[in-house]
Parts: sequence; structure tokens; C-alpha cells
Amino acid sequence: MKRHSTLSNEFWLLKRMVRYDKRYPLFLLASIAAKLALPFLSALLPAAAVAALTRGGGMGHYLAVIVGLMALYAGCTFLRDWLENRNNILKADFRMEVGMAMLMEKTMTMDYNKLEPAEGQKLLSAAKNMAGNPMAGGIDGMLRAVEPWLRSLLGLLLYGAAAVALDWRILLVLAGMTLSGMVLDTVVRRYEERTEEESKQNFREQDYLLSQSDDPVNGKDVRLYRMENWFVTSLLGVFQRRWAWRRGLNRRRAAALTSDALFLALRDILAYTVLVSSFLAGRTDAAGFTFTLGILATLTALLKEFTQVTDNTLYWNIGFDNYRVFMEQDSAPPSGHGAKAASVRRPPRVELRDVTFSYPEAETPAIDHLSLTLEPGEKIALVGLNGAGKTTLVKLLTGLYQPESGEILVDGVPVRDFDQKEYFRLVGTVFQDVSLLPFTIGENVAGREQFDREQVWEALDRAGLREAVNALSKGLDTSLTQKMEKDGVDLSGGQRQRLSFARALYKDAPLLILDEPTAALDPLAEADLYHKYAREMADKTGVFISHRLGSTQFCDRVVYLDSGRITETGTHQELLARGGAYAKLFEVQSSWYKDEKKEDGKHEET
Amino acid sequence: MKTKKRAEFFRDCRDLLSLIHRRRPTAIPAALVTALLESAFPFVNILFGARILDRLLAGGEGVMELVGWMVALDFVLGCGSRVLRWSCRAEALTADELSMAAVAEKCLTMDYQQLETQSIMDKLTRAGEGVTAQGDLFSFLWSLSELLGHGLTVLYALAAVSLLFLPADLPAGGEGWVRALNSPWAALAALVLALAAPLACVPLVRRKNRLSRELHQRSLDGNRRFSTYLSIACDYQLGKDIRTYAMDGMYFAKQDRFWVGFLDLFRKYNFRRSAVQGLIAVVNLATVLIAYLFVGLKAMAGLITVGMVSMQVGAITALAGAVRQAVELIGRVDLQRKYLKEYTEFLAIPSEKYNGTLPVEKRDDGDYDLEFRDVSFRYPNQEQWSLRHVTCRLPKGRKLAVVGPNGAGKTTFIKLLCRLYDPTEGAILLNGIDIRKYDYGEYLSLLSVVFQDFKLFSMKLGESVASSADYDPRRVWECLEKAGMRGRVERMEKGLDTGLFQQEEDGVELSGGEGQKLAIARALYKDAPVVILDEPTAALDPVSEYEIYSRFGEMTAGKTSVYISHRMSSCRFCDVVFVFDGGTIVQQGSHEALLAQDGLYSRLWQAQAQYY
Repeated sequence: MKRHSTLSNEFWLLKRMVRYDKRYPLFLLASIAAKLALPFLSALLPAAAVAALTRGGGMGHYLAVIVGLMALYAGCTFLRDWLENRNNILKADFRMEVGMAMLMEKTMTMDYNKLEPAEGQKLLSAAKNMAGNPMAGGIDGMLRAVEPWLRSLLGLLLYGAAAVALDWRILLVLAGMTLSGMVLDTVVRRYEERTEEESKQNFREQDYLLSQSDDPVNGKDVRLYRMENWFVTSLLGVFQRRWAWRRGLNRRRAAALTSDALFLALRDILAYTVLVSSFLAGRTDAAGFTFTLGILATLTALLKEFTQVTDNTLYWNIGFDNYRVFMEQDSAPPSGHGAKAASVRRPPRVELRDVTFSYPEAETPAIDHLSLTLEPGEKIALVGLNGAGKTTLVKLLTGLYQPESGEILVDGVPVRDFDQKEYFRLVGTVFQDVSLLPFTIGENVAGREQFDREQVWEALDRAGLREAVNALSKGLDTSLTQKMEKDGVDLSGGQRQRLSFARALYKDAPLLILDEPTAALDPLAEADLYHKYAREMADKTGVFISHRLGSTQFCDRVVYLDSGRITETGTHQELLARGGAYAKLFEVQSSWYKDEKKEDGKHEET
Repeated sequence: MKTKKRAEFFRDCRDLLSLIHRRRPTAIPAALVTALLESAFPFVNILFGARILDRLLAGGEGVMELVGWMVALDFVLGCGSRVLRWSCRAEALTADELSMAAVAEKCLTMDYQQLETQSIMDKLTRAGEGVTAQGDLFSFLWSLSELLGHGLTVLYALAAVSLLFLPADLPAGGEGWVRALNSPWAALAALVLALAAPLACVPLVRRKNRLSRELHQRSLDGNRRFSTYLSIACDYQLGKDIRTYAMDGMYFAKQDRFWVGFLDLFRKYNFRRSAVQGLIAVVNLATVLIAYLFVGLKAMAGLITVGMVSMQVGAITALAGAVRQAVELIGRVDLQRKYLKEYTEFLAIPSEKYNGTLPVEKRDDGDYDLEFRDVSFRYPNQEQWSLRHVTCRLPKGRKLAVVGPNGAGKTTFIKLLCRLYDPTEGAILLNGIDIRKYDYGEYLSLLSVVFQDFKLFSMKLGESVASSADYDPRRVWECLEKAGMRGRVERMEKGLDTGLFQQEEDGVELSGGEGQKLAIARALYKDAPVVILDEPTAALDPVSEYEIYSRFGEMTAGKTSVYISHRMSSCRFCDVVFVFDGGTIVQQGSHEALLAQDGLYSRLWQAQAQYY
């Protein structure tokens, strides 16, 4: 993975920030000016007071000096606070409207096979944190660093010159302080870096245990198995590891703090020695004395700020870079060669030619040189044990994944000739894990906000859900779940399955794929849905996956999958007659039902 | 009203402090000492700076000695307070962590019904939202220690300022105004004026806090929506459907509309807040101005030294600053305690399930007789009965199958048996005694349950089977063997120490079937006389399903067992079948007997058997 330097990432962000709001550089400069002027004024104020008192200019003079300086000070203060807020709002807006919006658009439109794997999910979650959580640094942290960094750099030049004018040895002490501070801070940071993974894991474990303990869905198991001691012991174990870590960190920090304080003492002794002798020699007066001390304090603070900001930014950049890498990854879905969904004959012939697909880091391919042809209007039942490759094959057929080698043709046109979105028009799906959006029922069926209500009702009707939706006071406009609307409803597992079926019916795509769509249903509801599936698939080319082997009888052909290959294919009857793996599987499942017909009712193990 | 509020404030703070103190007795003393040192630190320079200046103006004798003292004190206080700050921070964080552990323990042990009660769990949600917006127990203690520091600063500063009240010897030829300046009343007037600025800010600070609170309230709904949008965008499961059904257009249209209002809300509040903030900063400067004017005039009249000017200006500024920050902090502490008291209240909720005291007789023959006597139940706030007049006896030492359509009350039946809920009417009896009379923990020890939506946790595999951090590995292996998982676990590099799921380092992912087998192993490890399996084969392929079926008898030998399933085939290996419909048992008997009747059972059976 390509990594970017801190400066490169700062420029990358600033470019987008300036594009987002042209006034940003202006705000930035004004803020720097106000913030540099303030410490200068606060050093000047007591010095000017002392000068007015010791040099003898009368009361009027004193009043004029103080009131004038204070007015200037007040102006700068207001400017500083106002700009600070202004810039914070700007940064927050930018983070949301640009950073977050870009991220969400990317995840919604990027190629699915970049998003789904664990690695993609990991990068996404890191990137999301950078855009969503200002505490973690991220976009906010990187932008926040710009102002203090520029300001402290500029301030160091200005105030540094003033310090040199006093005595160059002071710079030497300050340089020593900075160097020693940097070394000791590095010790702290090294320790933090060395333990970063561990500490992150530690916090993850804490969050996990805490979130699991108050989640009602876990409540039953927790109580029945008396898990509270296990949980609390684990949690305390997590804390104890963290405390040891924190003690180590604080020990190292104490060293850095002590060195800092020592150098400050050295600076003060040196500065006072020089200033006192210069005062006694008459080279400087009381006002100059006070002013110089103020300037020195400011210089020290700026130096500290500069090293700290640099340090933080270098650290934050590591995290932030995840965001940039995520955003810049090449993840456009296949754009094809202009094949049109509209010109595909319905129902289409679907052909897989020597298709192979492997997941990253998997040793064996999930689909292994598989060839299969679905004639127009043919329905196949895809059967196999868990892990045989059924779901992967479905993802290839739906166009979410692309074959590693070999090709898939629909009506003679290679799938890769279609733009991905165009190809999706050809496919209707009902997945085992029904995913619905927290929008209205109508929108979920139609997939858009404007839709033909009659058609949606018809689809619901055919999926057997009309009555249930009709019973809701808001009908099609009822929201699902309470995530978006307070009066949203929760559908039962069976209803969700029917809704997702209605969605496929509304889409009316020529290729229909049903992946284990009845898992959680009772026998009567299950039988009812089988009939509906059989009816609705009549004029489509279809793939049906189920563990209930009997239910596949409405399919024209059974395809038995094992380790990514087709090992048997034929009609249900043919495969039973052949006595292969499918027949064995069917025997296993049906024995309990079939034995019924025998007198003794015993079941032999096969 | 106002005193009542104040009393409430102090009571909540006291409750929270005692919560902290009980978990970590060193946290509060550490915060005290740190505040003491930290507030003293700036006064070293204020005091010594003035004396050094005076000494210089007087000829410079012994100046370097003063400088030496100042530098030494600076070093000790500066270094000490900062190092202490970090350990104080560690103490406070520890207190917070231990309090969270207490909350977790409460969640794990409170009545299940309470856990499912929205109004109770809302306490945690509100506290959690407050923590995000205003800070946790750690920041509460932190704020309090800062508040204390400001209080001490006020004391130190007043001590320094009190010097102004001492009348000086009037210089020769002192005019009227000089004499007036010299009186303690003038000093008092100046002090009151100087403090007027931070006090004038009180309403401004209140306004700022109110704006923050309002924004928090008004953004709750938007925040929830926003995180929903975000989770939709990042959910790869939804991603499949969103892509194949081209729903991204609808999503973005909705999100964009939401976004405009949501961001405007923040913008509006932040602009208003920033104006107030700027005003507060400027008004506070009035203190410095007044200090300079009064002290300067005094110096000019020869009543105090020039060094005293810088010292008094420093002290008065510190005083006003401390007052201002204390005012702001009190507002914050007030907000924090309002949210955090949800924790103390949450921890104080009594559990009703623990009222029973009877011990359960330990029997080796598993002779436990469980009986439902006219049990009816409806979920809290529901009008509809989930179970109605259920009377039955669990067949002792035999296998019971429970079937019926979705929503017939099968799972509720099990939940009542497990005392997750108590019957609304009627009673469940164990050996003739109401189960509510038994000790809760002892009663639960009778039951091994695999729920339909069983949960496995992302921890070590061995611990997960035993539900405990220390366990007997030999027995765990035995149970894995019985559940058909031994081979799979043996192939894992770390065996029983293998972590489960992504929360653990190198954690393994389990397929649905493997998870189910592990849950069964957990039930076996518990080795209770009553075994309940709720829909244990839903995610399994036919071969795994067959394995479970054939092992079921072995797993439950000599025990009372209940098997709930939509796969009617499971009724074949059970001795008795209960058929549930509409919250009651409509049929019961052996599979053969029920099939011979023309009823719901035979219809359910036929619906599946027709295919075979």
C-alpha cells in the first residue's frame, strides 16, 4: 500500500479545503496575526506600565498607555476568539460535507469485491474513524495542526531574533531544552508506538465486553450460563493490562517533564544573570527587564508548541493516511464495453465457461474451473454442503464478483462487456440474510423514491404480503425499523423474506436468484413460499439454493456442487437413480419423513 | 426551587464521588493534592517577580539570591505538579474504568425483564450520550479537581491582594486623592470593580451552556439519523442489495436532504455560541484594565513600589481568571452530573428475581418434575396474550418436541421455563413448588439451553464452552466431541486457546453450523438435568442436521429434553410432541398418535413430507 508523507497529506487536504471555501487562507492568516500579537502585547503591557511609572510621564501618560494597549489587546482577543470559532465551524463543515460525504459516496459506489473482504472492511473502518471522530485526529487533527504550526514557526523567527539580541547563550539553553525534550518525548512516543497495537486491542476488548454486557440479545445466554463472573474477570484483566501500560507510560513521561523543568530553571538562571548585570550596568531599565522576561516566556512556549504540533501531526498522519489511501484506491466497478441490458433476450441463456475464483489469501479456489449452461427459462437447484461454493457462485452470477479466469456469458454477451450497473438490471435476487433499508416499504420494494404504487401493491400481493401491509395505518409509506422514523415497524423474519421477494418481483429481472430464502419459516409458510417461487420463476432463468432438498423439485435440473466444482447434474429423479452424493444427501434428510411409511417407524443410519 | 436544585446538585455530586471512591479510594486524594500544588505554582513568579524588581530598583543587593529561590521553587512545584497531574489522571481513569465494570456487572445480573425494558436501558443510553457530549466519570472528577484548584487560586490571590488594604505611610505633601487612594475602602472598591467583570459574565456563561444543551437536545435525532446513514453506507451486507437493486440514487437523495438541515443546525448554534464566547473574553479583560489603573495610580502616588504593581496586577488577574473559570466549570459539572447520575440510579435498581431463597435439591437421578399450571403470559406493554392457559407437564427423563407456526408461543414457553420472564397468571412448579420461590441461580443451574438466537462471544474457545475463565480442559474436549466439533477444534493451531471471531487476535470465524455445535457443546458442559434446544439446525446443511439428530439421544440420555424445530422430522425421535398454536397447546401426544388425527400437526407434517 502506498503511503504518503505528512506534508503531502497536508497539501492534499488544504487543496480541497481551499476549493471548499476560498476564504480559508484569509481566515488562517488573520488568526495567525492575532495570535502572534497577543503574547507580544501581554509582554509589552507590564513593561509599558513599569516604563510609564519609572520614567515619569505623569498620570495622563500612564492612563493613555494602559488604556491604549488594553484596547488593542481587547481587539486582538475578540478577533482571536471569533476566528477560532469561525475556523472550527469551517473545519467541522469541511469534515462532514467533504470528508464524510466523499467517503460515503465512495463506499456506496465502489466495486463490491474491494469493499467486502476483511481487508477492505478494515481500511474502511480506519478511514471512517478519520472522517467521523475528531478525537482520533483525522481530518480535523490534520487541519487543526496547520495554524499552530505556521504560527509557531513564524513566531520562533520573530521572537528568536529578540532573544539573540539579549544573549545568544539563551538560545543555546532553549535549543538544549528542545533537543532533550525531543529525545525524551521520543522515548515516550516509541513506547506508545511499540504498544499501540496492544493498546488498541485492549480498548477494543473493553468496548466489546461493555457493549456485549448491556445488549439485551445476549441477556438470555448470559443468565442461563451465569457468565457474569467470566465477563467481569475478563474486563478486569483488560484493565489490569492497561494499568501496567499506563504506569510504564507515566514513568517515561515523568523523565521528559523533569528534563523540561530542569532546562527551564537553567534558562531562568541564565536570563536573570544576564538581565541583572545588564540592569546594574545601566544598559537596560526596569521596563526593558520586564519586557525581555515576557518575550523569553513567549519564545519558550512557542518552541514547545512547535515541537508538540510537529510531533502530533507526524503521529496523526499515520492514521489519516488510511483515509487518503482508501479514497484514492482504484475501486471503480467494471465499466464494460457498452453492452446494453435492454438488448438481452428474455429469458436469457446463461453460460459459465471454465470459471475460477479465489478469495484473497485462500489456499484453494472457491470456484474451480466450473462450466455450466442454463438454457433460456431453465431453473436449476444449486445443492451442496456448507462451504461448497454456492454463495460465491451466486456472487459471480449477480456480477458483484468477477471471475479470476474463464467467463460468464448472458445471452451470448460476456458479463464483463456490461457496465456493472447495466448488468445489475438483469438480475433479481433474494438472499438468505435479508437486508432492508430503514426507509418506507414502498421505497424498499421499488428501490427509488418515486414509484408506481399499483405495481408495488401487485408485487406485494404476489409475494403474499399485501394483507400485512394493508393492515398498517400508513400502508406503503410505513417506515421499516425505528432508526429513521419513530413510528416505523419491525417485520418478522418471514415478512422480511416476503418483502425482499416482492422487491425482486417488482424489478422483474430476467435472471432470478434465490439463495436459501426460507430458512426461518414454519412449514406452512415455507410450503406457501415454495409455490409462489415456482409460479413466479416460470418465465425466467433461475437459480435456487436450499438445504431443504425436497423443495428443489420444481427446478428443471439439480446441480450438485462440491469444493467449487460440479460433481453431479441432472433431474432430481436422475440423480436419485444414480445413487451419488446428492442421492445420499436426500436420503439423509428424507429418511425421517419416509420411514413414516414403513410399519416399524425405525430409522436406520445411512 | 433554587435551594432544591442546589441540594440536588450536591447530592448527585456526593453520590458520584462516593461511586468513584468505592471503586478507587486513592483517586480523590490524588486529585486534591494535585489541585493544591497546581494552583500554588503561578504565585511563585507573581510574588518573587515583584520582589526582584523592587530589589533591582533599590540597587540590586541580594537579587540573585531571590532569583535562586524562585527558580528552585518553580522547579519543585512545576515539575511536581505536572508529574502528579499524570498520575492523578491515571487514578481518575482507573476509577472510571472500575465504575464501568460495575455497570457491566449490573447489566449482566439484573433481571432479564429489566434488561429488555426500554425505560431502564434508556438510562444507560442517556448516560452514554451525555458521556459523549460532556465527558465521563473521569472528566467529572477532573472538572471537580480543576474547580477546587480555582478555589485555591482565589484564596492565594486574596492573600496577595490583602497587601493592598494595608495603608502606607503617607508621603510628604500627600494631596487629598492620595489619601483617598491609601484608604482600605478604595482598595475594596477596586477589588469589587475588578470582580464585577467575571460576575457580569455569569449570565453570558449560562447562555452559552444553555446553547450547548439545546444543541445537544436538538441534535439527538439528527445524530441518530446520521449514524444510520453512515452505517448504511458502510454495511457491506446492505451493499449487495443496494448495488444490485440500484438503490444508491434514492439513498443519496434522502441523505442530501437530511444533511442540509442537520449541518445548518450546528452552524446556527456554533455561530451564536462563538459570539457569546468572544464577548465573554473581552468583558473579562476589564479586570486587567481596572487592576492596572488602580495599582498604577497607587504607585504613582508613591504608596506602593513598582514591583508591587506587577505583583498586584498578576494577583488580581489570577483572581478574576479563577472566578471566571470556576463559573464556567460549575456549569459543566452541573451538566455532567445530570447525565452521570443515571449511572448511580441504574446501579441502584433492585432485582426482583433474587427474592427466592429455597435451595434446589441436588439429585443424581434427575428426578425434577416441571409443570405449567394454567400459565398465561403477555409481554410488558402488550395487549395480546402470548401464552394463554397453558397447562402441561414436561415428560420426566424423556424427549419432548415442540412444534407450531411462527408466533405460536413456542419460544415464550421456553423463556418462562427459564425464568427470563415470570408468568402473568398461573404458575410454573418444580417438584410441586412455584419456581419463583427457589434461589434464582440454583434454579437456573437445572437448565442447559441452546436458544434459537444463541450468542457466542469473541473470547477464547475453551472459555466459551465453559462460560468461565477457568475450566476443565478434559471435560471441554469431551463436550466438543459429543457435539461433533472435536475434529475441527483439534485442527486449530491453538486448540482451546483459539480466539473466536475478529475481536480476538487471529480469531477464527465459525460457520453457522459450527457456531451451533459450539453452543451445543456449551450446553453439554453445563451438564444440567434439563436440556432445551430451540431450532438448532436452521443454518445447517442436511449432513450436519443429520449428525445433530442422531446425537440428540446420546446427548440427552437420562435427561428431560425439549426440542423446538420447524423441521417436522425432529418429532420422529422424540417421545412426546406438543403442538402450539395461538398461545395454547392444541395437541399433544406421540408422533404416530398425532399424525393419525386430522389436526394442525398432520397439516404441518404433510407440508414438509410431501417432498420426500
